[in-house]
Parts: sequence; structure tokens; C-alpha cells
Amino acid sequence: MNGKDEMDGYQSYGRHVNPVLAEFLALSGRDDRFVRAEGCSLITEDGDRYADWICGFGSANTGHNPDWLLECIRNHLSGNPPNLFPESLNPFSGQLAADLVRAAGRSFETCYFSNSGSEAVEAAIKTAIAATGRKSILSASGAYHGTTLGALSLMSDNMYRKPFEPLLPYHSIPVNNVAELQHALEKHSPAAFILEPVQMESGVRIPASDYLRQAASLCHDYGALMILDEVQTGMGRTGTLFAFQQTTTLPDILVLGKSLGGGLLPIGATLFREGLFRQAYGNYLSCEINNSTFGGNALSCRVAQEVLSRIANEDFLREVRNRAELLSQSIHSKLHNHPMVSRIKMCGLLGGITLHDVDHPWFSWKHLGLEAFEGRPITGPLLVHRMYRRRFLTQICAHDWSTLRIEPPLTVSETQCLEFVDALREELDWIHANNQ
Amino acid sequence: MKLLEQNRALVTGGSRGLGRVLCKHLALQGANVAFNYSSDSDGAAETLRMLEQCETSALSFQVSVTDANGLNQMAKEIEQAWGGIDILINNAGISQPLPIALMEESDWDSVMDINIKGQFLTARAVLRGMIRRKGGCILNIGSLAGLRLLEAPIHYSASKAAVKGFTEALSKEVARYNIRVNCLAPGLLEEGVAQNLPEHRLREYLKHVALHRKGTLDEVARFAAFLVSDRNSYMNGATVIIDGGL
Repeated sequence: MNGKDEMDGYQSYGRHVNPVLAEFLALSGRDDRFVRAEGCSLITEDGDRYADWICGFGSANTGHNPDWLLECIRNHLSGNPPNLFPESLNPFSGQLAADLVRAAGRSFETCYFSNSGSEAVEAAIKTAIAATGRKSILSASGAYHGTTLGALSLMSDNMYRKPFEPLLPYHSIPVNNVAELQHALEKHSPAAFILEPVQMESGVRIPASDYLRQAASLCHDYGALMILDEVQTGMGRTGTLFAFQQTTTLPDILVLGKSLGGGLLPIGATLFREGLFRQAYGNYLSCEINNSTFGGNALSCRVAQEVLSRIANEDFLREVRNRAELLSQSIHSKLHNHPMVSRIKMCGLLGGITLHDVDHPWFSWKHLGLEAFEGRPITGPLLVHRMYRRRFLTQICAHDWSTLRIEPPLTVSETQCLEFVDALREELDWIHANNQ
Repeated sequence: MKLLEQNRALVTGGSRGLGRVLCKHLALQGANVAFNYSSDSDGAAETLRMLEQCETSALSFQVSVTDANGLNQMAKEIEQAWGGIDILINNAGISQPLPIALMEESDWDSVMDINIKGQFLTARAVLRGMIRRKGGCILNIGSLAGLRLLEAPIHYSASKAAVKGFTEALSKEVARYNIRVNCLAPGLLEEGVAQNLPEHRLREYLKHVALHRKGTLDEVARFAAFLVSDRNSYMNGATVIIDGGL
């Protein structure tokens, strides 16, 4: 198209939304135009079908546009219900909160709704500060809790936080070190310790089996709240509805987002243990100081309720565990001895394959024309590129570019898993052969 | 009288980009315009709509420039419809922003197949009639990337360099039938391979362009319409650069 006014939406994205990303996608041959999504696939305007192993970073656990969810949305909207309930009782958020509390366990009591996982983290931080009267938050090194200013404060990666400093007072400790945690709790008296059950973005770090329980117990000893960020690990991703349910840990605050909205509606949820809401916001003046206009809107809540009921179903979760077992076995059997693979980590259908870096100069960032990435691992992005060419959408971990994330929709089929692993094996063979 | 009145033209790759604009300018100069496309039916329909507004005859064919039989059939159908083809613009071409380390044999083959073998196959399909009628003009779209040391994918540059050789040899071979063959080699344009260039490299390139800007598709297509007209009757075997002065 010639004139600027004639640009279609894809071209307009490059001009009016993120010109730099659009340029990068064109440069790396990843500027396909996706027009449809169904199940585990995204489909281009030319009809090419890509297997989606990014899954909106875990936002489409029930697959893209499932019929039952579209039907639910149609039914809901056909009744013309109010969508927003400012200053009035909201039956939709009420019902969803009741379902979430029931699903998460009897220690929880209330639930705050927002529009994203990041916002849900913000609510967790604010509530911890308001409830304890303490000012700082303790987080784990390698964490990724979102990019809003509060959530960003808990991120240790410089690339994300540096341009926005100073941020909230925070202290970071390594995961799996109970002594360090105790020392930090003692020294800093934080309002809360926030942790992800699996640190996906730092290369799929999975804490030792008893660490979460010990951490929660120590937090209680020192008057700090334990916040579990299950934005990515929740909603069936690890084989149980929430990852913490595989332990005996009882967090004070549980943070949810992403797939709670079925990949269609934005929603974040922050669950508080019994008594905590009143502790933080316990009078008429303060009960709404943490609020969100669209938080708890009827459509998002109705969708989340439907998604929750699907995923919480034990048959669904059993199927997730079966598929996860098959995928894990296939990955281990075909890749664990591969010369390019240094580590494989799986937790349900969440995992990562960490790769040795290539060292041939023609695979350098400079040779590939991407000097801006100099110093970062290259094998992961190279594998992403190779997989894309085979029509598999994959991505690396945000903090660890040497790790390819494994995060398909939970509805992924056995055949799709096996095809994915075969493709991975062949592409790693190609990289290895061309690195000689 | 318009420049191309009573001429019958075929443009390859006419459903988008430069191909579509070439179709437009040929039609504006009075030519009947046929074009082919490989897959973009919506784009082809758009080009046809545009040609209808020019009040000349238009034809479109969904056939790849790598499909020899399909091209022969297309040439036959155009000749049946209009009695012949006077002008062929070999425009269809592709590129991929790939460094050699990531370039597959299949990438090389597909770029070569479309960018140079496609020109051969289309020219062969059309030349049969041109030679019989002892007249015609072929314009092959090359690229500055095939002539100068530019930062461009190797398969693309190689294919465009081949276009120059193809043009010269073919011009010699068919000149005896009063058929002229030339090559038009644009520099970076507002659409096309320029879109695969990072912003900072584009800026660097434009610093060296005397006009300090990319060319437009209209500028190239307007010039192409002149090149294939009878007013350009003595140019043959030439590769003409249109690049704003590099």
C-alpha cells in the first residue's frame, strides 16, 4: 500500500504501537500475520498453521477460543447484564471469589480483582504493607512478577528495572537458602516475602520440595506475610490447580492472572487469607483505597468462573498430568544426552531446556546483525528462530536466554507433544552440526 | 496519444507492491494489462479493481512464475484474448532477511527459482508469440543489490546479479526479432527489501543517497512505463539504475 492512510492494522502496529518490535520481527522473519486461533494453533492469513508453544506466556491454558468459552461469553452477553458495579454489590465477582476461595483452600477468605497479573501483584504488595505497617518487600533473585512499578521493584534483572529506578524498597535473596531467608527476615523486617513456586523466567528454577513450607513458616515466625505468585504456575499449569497444592504450604496471599481469563479476557486475582482484608482495609474510609474500575467486571468474572470450573475438574487435571508425563519422558529420552543440552527441567506442562551456547563466529550476534544483544546467550534465540521456521512458536525465558521455555496449552495432544520434541531434536542437531 | 496505447502488457507479481503500481502506470498510459500472482487473491482483486478504473482491459491469472506449464497456458490465454503480448515486465521476486549461517539450501533455491528462473520461464512463455510477431519489449526488474556492494541477503543479491546477465544475453539473442530486453535496477524503495533493513542501517544508506530518501513505487513504475514504450526504441541490453544517486 502506498499512502500512510492506507496502512492495514499490521502495518499500523509498526508505525503506531511498537515500531522497534515490528522492525525486529521483520528482520528476523517473524512478521507473519496471524488471523485465527484455535486450540493449540495460530493460523496466518495465508493459511499456515503454527503450533503455539508460547501460549501467551501461559495465558491460554485451555487453548485458543474453546467453543465452550465462546458459548459462555455469548450466553452471558445475551442477557445484557451490567458489566460494572461501581459502589454496589457485584454478584459476578462475588461468585468468582467464592469459587476461587473454595478451590484454593479454607485458609483463604477474600479476593481482590484487577485486570492483569501485574496488577494482582501490586494488590498483594499494597495489602501486605497496609496489613503489617512495614515498608519493604523481600523477593527472590531471578524473580519475575510483572512490569508495573511495584512489581518491577521485585525484579532483580537490570534490563527491566534499571531505566525506572529508584523503585520501592526491596531486598532480594537467593531461592532455596533458608538461612539467608531467616537472616533477611530478621534484618529487614519486610512486610512480605514474595515467591514464585517455579521461577520460569530465570530458566525454570524449581525450589526444593520443602522450601516453600519452610519459607512460609519462617515468614509467620517473623511477622511477614508469604505471597505466592502463581500467575504462571496456577490454573492447572503444573498438574494441580495451583502449584502450592503439591506442598503443605499455606501462603497468606495468592496471586493469579493470565489463564484465569481463558486467554480471552484480562483478569488478575489476589486471594487473601482469613482476616487479612480487614487487617489492611478494615474501616469504611479505607475499604476502597485499593481499587480498579474494571477490576471484577462481570464479563471477565463470568469467563474466569467458567475457566476455573473446567480446570479444577479432576479429570481435566489428570489429563494434564498424563500429558506432562508423556512430554517429560519424550524430552528426556530424546534430548538429555544431546550435546547442545545442558539441563532439562519440567514441572507439569511448565518447563525449560537449557542449552550450551554456540561458539562459532558465524552464529555471533554481530554476524547476525543484532549487535544490541551482544553478551547474551544465542543458542536459545537461534533455536526459537529455527523452530519458527518449522511453524512452532517458542520463546526463551526472559532472564535466561539460554533456556527455551516449554509452555503449551494444557489441551495439547500427545501427537503435538511428540512432533514438538522431534522438531526440537532435529533443530538442535542442525545447530550442533553448524557449530562445528 | 498515451505512451502505451494499443499495447498489451503482462506484469508478473501484480497483486501487491511494485507489481501493482507497474500495472497501474501501464494502464494509465493506455495499455491493456494482464498480471499473474501466486497466492494473494485479495491483493489481485484489488489490482483488478484499480485497473478497471483506468478504463483499459485487464486480466489476472493465479499462477506461480515457477510453474512452466501454467505460464505457457497463461501466455496462450492472453494471446487468445488480445491477439498477442507486446510488453512483459518480469517483476515477481522475493527476499528473506537471512544471514548465510541461517540460510537453508531451500531458501537459496526458492529465491533463485522465483527471482531468476521465474524470469526465464515467463520470458520463454511470452517470447514464442513475440518472435512470431517480430516485435516486443521485455523489462526485467533487477536491483541495486545485484550490482553494488550492499548489505543484502546473498541469495537475493545473487539472483538480481543474474538478472543483469540474463537481460544482456537475452537481448542479444532476440534483437534480430525486433525485441528489446532491458533491466531496471531500483535502489531502496518505500516498500520491498527496505523493510528488512534496520532503521540505523537505512539511515546510513540514505546518507549516501544524493536525494537522501527512498524511492517511491510510483517513481519507478512511471519510469518503467517509459522504458517499455516505443519512445525508448534504441535502448537494448541495458541495466538502468534508479536509486536517487548513490
